[in-house]
Amino acid sequence: MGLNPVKGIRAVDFDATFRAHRGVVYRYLFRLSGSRTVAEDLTQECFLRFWEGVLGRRSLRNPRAWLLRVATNLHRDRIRRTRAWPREVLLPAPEPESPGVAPDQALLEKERARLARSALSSLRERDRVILLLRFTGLSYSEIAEATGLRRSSVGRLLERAARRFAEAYRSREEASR
Amino acid sequence: MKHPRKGVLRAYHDGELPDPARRRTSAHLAECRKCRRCLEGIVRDARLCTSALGSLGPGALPELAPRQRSPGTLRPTGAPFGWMAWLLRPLPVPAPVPLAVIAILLGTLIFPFGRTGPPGGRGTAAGRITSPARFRVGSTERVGFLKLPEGRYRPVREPEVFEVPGGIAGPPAPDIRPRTGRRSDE
Repeated sequence: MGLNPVKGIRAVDFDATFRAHRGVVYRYLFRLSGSRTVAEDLTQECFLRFWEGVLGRRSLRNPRAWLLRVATNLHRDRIRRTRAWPREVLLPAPEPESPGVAPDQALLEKERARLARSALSSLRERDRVILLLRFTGLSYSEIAEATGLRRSSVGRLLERAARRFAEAYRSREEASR
Repeated sequence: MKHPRKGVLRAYHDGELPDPARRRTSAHLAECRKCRRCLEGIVRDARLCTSALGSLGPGALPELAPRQRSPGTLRPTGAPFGWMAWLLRPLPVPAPVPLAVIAILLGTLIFPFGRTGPPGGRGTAAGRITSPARFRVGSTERVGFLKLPEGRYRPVREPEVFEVPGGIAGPPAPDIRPRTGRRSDE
């Protein structure tokens, strides 16, 4: 329950937010970027921004929506930056060990993940973000807050994004058979 | 009654419609076969999205320890723009080749053909040495959170600057401060 000497707020607030939302932010960024390294980096940056900019404020209605909005912007900035200065070589992420799963089942899961990744990357950025935010568990109001869209548009855009994703996924599935 | 739009049907499926609109949509769906079929398609797409995106899970949540930023975030200190990045991109030929070309071009500027010596006057091209700061490779940060023993987290943001080994950066500037007090020779 220590006080942050700079902002005069209780550090426990930050810890509670960090514990409650870091998994959500990390998983969202992992699905958005497809890289563990990038997801970890951007999650750290996201919470640093939270520490530096938001904790002093009194009226942050929804920290989860705020964090996911910052995460989306950070990911967009990163793409823009690496396009201008492509110095990074992404190594393949280590395969997670899943004991007790039959090899053929694991292979099937891997294939599904590959198709999903491919279908997701074929979408426009806005569709991808909306789809992942909804999958993360955000309500329409939170999605509107995180993306800057109007709440009344979220249903229409979400339906369109899901339809495009399903079409892309099914076409890839057909092609791989 | 007018058919509800697909966005409204999606919101109906997600339970995001306000009560009056929800009742209206339910009543319409009970009567309209076309809209029911449309809703079935929306439900099918939503289920496919959920199951497919679920397969993308990252697995276990890593402990977020402070770490060096990935090299992709590095940017030369003197190159904030895209064209500068293009100029400084890695070349597909060995380094001595462009250096030799540059040396020949500089040589022709300083010792042009048909002249026996260097042009006179001050401020030749070779004489202008740019700021050493331009030759820094880049700066990076060590960012993240330290987990303290009592289970709390402390943010870390430590900047670091890299320079070219053996570059032309001169010695550090002397620390000159205004003198205070009386001079000893007075």
